[in-house]
Amino acid sequence: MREGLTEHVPHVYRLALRLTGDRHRAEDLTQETFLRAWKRRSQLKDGRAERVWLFRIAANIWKDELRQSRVRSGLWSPLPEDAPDREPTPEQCSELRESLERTLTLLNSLPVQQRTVLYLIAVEGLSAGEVSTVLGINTNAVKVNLSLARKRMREQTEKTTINSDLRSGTTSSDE
Amino acid sequence: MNDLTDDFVLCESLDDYLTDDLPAERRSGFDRHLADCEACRVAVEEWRTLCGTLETATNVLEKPSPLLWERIQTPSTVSALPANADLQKWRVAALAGASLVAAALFASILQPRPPRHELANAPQTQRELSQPAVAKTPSRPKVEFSADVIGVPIDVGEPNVTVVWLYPTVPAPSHPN
Repeated sequence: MREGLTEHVPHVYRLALRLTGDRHRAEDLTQETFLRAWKRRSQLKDGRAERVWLFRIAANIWKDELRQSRVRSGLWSPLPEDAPDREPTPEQCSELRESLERTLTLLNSLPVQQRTVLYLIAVEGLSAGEVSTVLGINTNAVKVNLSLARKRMREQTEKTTINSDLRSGTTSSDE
Repeated sequence: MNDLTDDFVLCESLDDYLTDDLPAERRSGFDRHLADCEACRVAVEEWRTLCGTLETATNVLEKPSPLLWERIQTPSTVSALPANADLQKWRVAALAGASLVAAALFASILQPRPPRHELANAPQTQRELSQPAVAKTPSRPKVEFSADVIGVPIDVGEPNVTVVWLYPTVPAPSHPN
């Protein structure tokens, strides 16, 4: 596999996680994406657009898969806490890691299109036009999904913060 | 347009600002607007925090497993998901095969058969047909010869040609004594 393509593996894998909501499926989807990209590498004219091209392949494969297996992504459940690649480390107990995990859980609890749009824009830095190309939806739909995702993330974060404050308040009052 | 309307229009551009979809001249206008509009400023700050947190969270917690790297580094790996094109090819091939078998069956049903009374003789006919053909010996014409010759037929290899060797019968010479 070409070196230039494999540098995008983590990014494609994370998008696959957003789309599938499942680690094993995400791995399969990532592998399939690179397999197809390798076969069609001659189609890629602009090397700078590699990542968007790979994202588009991944999104298309997943769409086909959904169409065929009639998998309803709405049935997706949050990732298990004891996922195999999350080995317990001393850092895991740290406040920062917990905070990061909470954020990811919030992201994963969003509807599939919202979390995918949010991920592509916030993390991958894609423009609304590029997201529209990757997901095959119009630019307005991208913006609506982004707006809804931001709103939900804000609401959920506030809720989580309040709960966290309440818990710490209870703990300190117990002490 | 008054200031309030201007502010409203700029607030409406927040999403475009966040996704870098604002043209340069409007972007600088929005930057100035941020100084006056606390709601937009908070929204932008929240967005930047969210982007940073999500990036760190995904980078730290969602690393591809070594097994995935291994699977991707080998281009010859078997397709993880069913290849649609291959599946389609197999479907077409199976359909074509099934159609051929059905056509053959249909043709055998439609083929004209002899009436039943003729079928009774069928085994014999079959037996006759199955026996190897025996070459019949051509009938040779019977030729009468006179008493003073003896005819001896000679086989020359041609069934329709008969060659007869004739020997004259000569009376034995009488002895003088």
